[in-house]
Amino acid sequence: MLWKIVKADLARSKLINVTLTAFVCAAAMLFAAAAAIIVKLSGSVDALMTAAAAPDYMQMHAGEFDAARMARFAKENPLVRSYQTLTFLNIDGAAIRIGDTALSDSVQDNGLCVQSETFDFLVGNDGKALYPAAGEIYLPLCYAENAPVGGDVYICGRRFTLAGFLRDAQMESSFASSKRFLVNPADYAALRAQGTEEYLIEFLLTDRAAAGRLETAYAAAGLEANGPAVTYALFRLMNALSGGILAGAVILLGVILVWVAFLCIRFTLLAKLEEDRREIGVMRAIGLARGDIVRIYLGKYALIAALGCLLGLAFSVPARGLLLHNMRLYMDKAGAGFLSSACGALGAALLFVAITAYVRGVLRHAFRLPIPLALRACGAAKAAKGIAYRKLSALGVNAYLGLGDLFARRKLYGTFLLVLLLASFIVIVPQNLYTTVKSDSFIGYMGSGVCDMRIDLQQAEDIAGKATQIETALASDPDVVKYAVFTTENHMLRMPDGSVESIHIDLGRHELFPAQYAEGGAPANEEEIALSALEAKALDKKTGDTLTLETLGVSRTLRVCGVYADITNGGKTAKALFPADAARAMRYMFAADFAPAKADARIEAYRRAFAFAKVSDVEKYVGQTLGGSISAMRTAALASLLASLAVCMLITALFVKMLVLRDADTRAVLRAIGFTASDLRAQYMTRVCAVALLGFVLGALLANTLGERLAGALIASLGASGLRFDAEPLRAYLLCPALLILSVLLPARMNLKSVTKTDIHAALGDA
Amino acid sequence: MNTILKAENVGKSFAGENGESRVLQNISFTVEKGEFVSIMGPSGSGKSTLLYCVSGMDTVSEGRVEFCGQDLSRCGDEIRSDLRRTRMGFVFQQPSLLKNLNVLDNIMLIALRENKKDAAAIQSRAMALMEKAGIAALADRGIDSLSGGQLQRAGVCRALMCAPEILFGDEPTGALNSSAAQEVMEMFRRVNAAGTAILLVTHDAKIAAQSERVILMRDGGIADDISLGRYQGGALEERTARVDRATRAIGI
Repeated sequence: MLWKIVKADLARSKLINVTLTAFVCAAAMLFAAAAAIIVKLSGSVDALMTAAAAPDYMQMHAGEFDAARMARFAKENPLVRSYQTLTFLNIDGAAIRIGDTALSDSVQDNGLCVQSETFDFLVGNDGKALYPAAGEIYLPLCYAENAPVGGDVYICGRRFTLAGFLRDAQMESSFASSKRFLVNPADYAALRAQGTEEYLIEFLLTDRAAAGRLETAYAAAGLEANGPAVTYALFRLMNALSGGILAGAVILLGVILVWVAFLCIRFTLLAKLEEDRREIGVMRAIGLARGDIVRIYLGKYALIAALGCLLGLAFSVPARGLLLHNMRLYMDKAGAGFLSSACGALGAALLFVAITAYVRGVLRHAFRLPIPLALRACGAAKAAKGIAYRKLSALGVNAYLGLGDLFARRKLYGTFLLVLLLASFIVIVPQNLYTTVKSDSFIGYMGSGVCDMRIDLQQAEDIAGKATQIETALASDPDVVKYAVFTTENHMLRMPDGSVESIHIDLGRHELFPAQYAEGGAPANEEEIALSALEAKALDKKTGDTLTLETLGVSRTLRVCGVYADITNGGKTAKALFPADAARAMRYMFAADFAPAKADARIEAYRRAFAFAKVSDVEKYVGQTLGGSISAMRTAALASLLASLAVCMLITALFVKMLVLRDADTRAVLRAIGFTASDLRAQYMTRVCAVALLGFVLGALLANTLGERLAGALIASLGASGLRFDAEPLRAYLLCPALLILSVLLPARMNLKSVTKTDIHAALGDA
Repeated sequence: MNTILKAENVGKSFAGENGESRVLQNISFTVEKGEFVSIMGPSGSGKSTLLYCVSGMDTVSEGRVEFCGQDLSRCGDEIRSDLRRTRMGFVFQQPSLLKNLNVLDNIMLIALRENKKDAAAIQSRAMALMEKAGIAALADRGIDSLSGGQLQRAGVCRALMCAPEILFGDEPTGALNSSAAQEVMEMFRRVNAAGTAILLVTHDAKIAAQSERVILMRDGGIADDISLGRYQGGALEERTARVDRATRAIGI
């Protein structure tokens, strides 16, 4: 009997049922996939780090290198378990060609290396170290796009066959600025003269947590340090970030889908109960218990939920593969397989339980009505006090009736409002995040100010002399509107406990090209220092605090004047204004703004003139450093727009359908006393429009307050604090809302067609 | 010409699961200006359907309905809505007032739909009608605080707002106790005395006996049409007995 009723009901409203099943399926798929990803993620980052035997501390260095002195330091320091020096052959991007594309515009430092012998291996997807044959090359995964295995790769004119892609525990993240290409030792030796060699000085420690102590000891020993230094913890952080964010996004999407599915269920169920009001009354009257009737309605939704969850679970297997592939995660084929599948199944099962519990709740609530009321008219809704006509008289009767109903049935419309509010929130936040990251001013979050061109000079012979050349050129260039020179020096910081730590400080006139300050501002005099958000956190310093530098016996106390965002180079930097010492300069950065329309040509000219430095068009620099993130955000913005539109259309259609069914009696009265069908439609449209407008406006407000903070928190996890949305108003506040409004009004209008057909007679005759 | 409503060979069928079912067939009658007519018949005889058809709420399948010489079957929905709003009044079995509005707003609603500029005049007219119906004190109350009789009197006030030429009632006393029913009937009689024609559907002989003419229906057709003469108040037993005799005579 139950099955018969369920079957008949399923057949009657196919479209709704299929849509519902699809929603449940998608939600189950995401949950199952997310559960599996979390299990895998927690293991995979460590698995890659372990398989590659990543070093605990690494110092890059360009220039003279005293191998014997380094070996002595490693041997004498009790923290060091193992030590090695690898070489990295820095090759100019223009000399690298993958297929038909040269890497001349690449902001990465690309270079060749050979497989290590003891640790820090470059591994394949199976976790095994790769050993290319002569003429073969392995590329980092970030170049996997448009590069077919077996294709040609040219390095300084020498032809290599692309043998595959490698996993690099240290430099894989797009936040790491160097990329290692793996070749055979013979090929490396042949190309050695074509590039500049750098050293990777790597240590394995007896205690991984002691990397900070080693760093201090290293600096104190005055060893080679012309280049960045990185610790295991930072590698791990960089590798984990992308995966964690993805798993979070997948779960969030799943939660939203479940919520939408719940709303769909609620609206269709309430509409159905409204249709069946009299039958339910009769069933109750003839003695069926509430539980019996609940089972009849529950049956259908239990079936939909079960089907959706099973399908979702099945789809989650390929989806999981796709997501994990995108995350470029190290896939441990043997391990965690069963556990992650089990967690996926558990996620889907929980969803099933949640859905059936929800339907049960809605039904129990609906059946609290006493039998006579259920048998009679629409007594279900208790009369609510509306607002008096005189308050809305200027709007006309239809608007008055429409709006009055909104106030009278706040709860009903509140749910609808919430959907539309969230829809606009979900559209605007990714949209604004995308335009913010895309905008020129976003460079401000990368630790430096907005400028047309930046020149990076590091790890070069006679670095000070070259810097002077560049500065002279900038100073005498009539097209340069303003420029600044920043010198990075390594200093010693006296900690409260008496120990010293090293800190890299950029010296120069920061106020000319201010970074994005979360608090305070750029140093204005020689007694001030600004810290990056991550550095401030690491040192536990706030604006107004002081810190003491001790360099070469000279002590200098500085006041922290500001904290700025920096998502590059591990994000731990500082800015100050005291005079630079050319002898101590580790690297230089020049920032310049050009007269309008001169930038492109001038940047090209500087690139030719100073081949020894890295001259970047800032727009392109941002594009490449954040290119992946920007395009991911564009996809996310577009996807969330489309998803929101679809949800708006679906929910509006269901909501209006339910409303029309619910109001049959009221509508019949209005029709009988002379309201026309277009009057009634006007009333419905008034309500829908009012709710839509309110929802979209509130959603936009929320997006710019809470949404900005959420997005800020996301970006802050990358080291950029104090994010402000840089929106394109036309797109965010005109085009998107217009689309959303359409996505509400069209289905509303379509579902109001039936209002014309209101059968006054049947509705009143029933009463 | 004094005929306000004219039905000619009216028939009505509904498409059902087992083919068409004929609810009304071959019905002809007229209502004159200022006349008070009742339609009586057992459940399922088609009396309510007839009321909806002749008032333009529903369309007829056969024949024609004229209101003041205008053929309703040739009018579109807009025009029929217009007529219902401006020249007809309706009172239903259930009070059918809107739950969100207070009593006064319910009564003013239709008049405001017509003319929202003259709200003050509309309000004073509504108050006058409520005064006469004895519910003026309830103007600002929500409708769930009123008794059935009070609600029905408010319903009559709403129907009278447009000063209709004819007032339709679909069992307006069906859900009321006898004293409340009598109050409502007295309102109807006052309205009728002021010149508004009334067409009332009822299954209560005592109610029907208060009208000038009673049309008796059976199985979708008119079985009898008896004239009682204008009721002037006073004893109803004699008139009720006549209606009872007529209904027994046709076997209902």
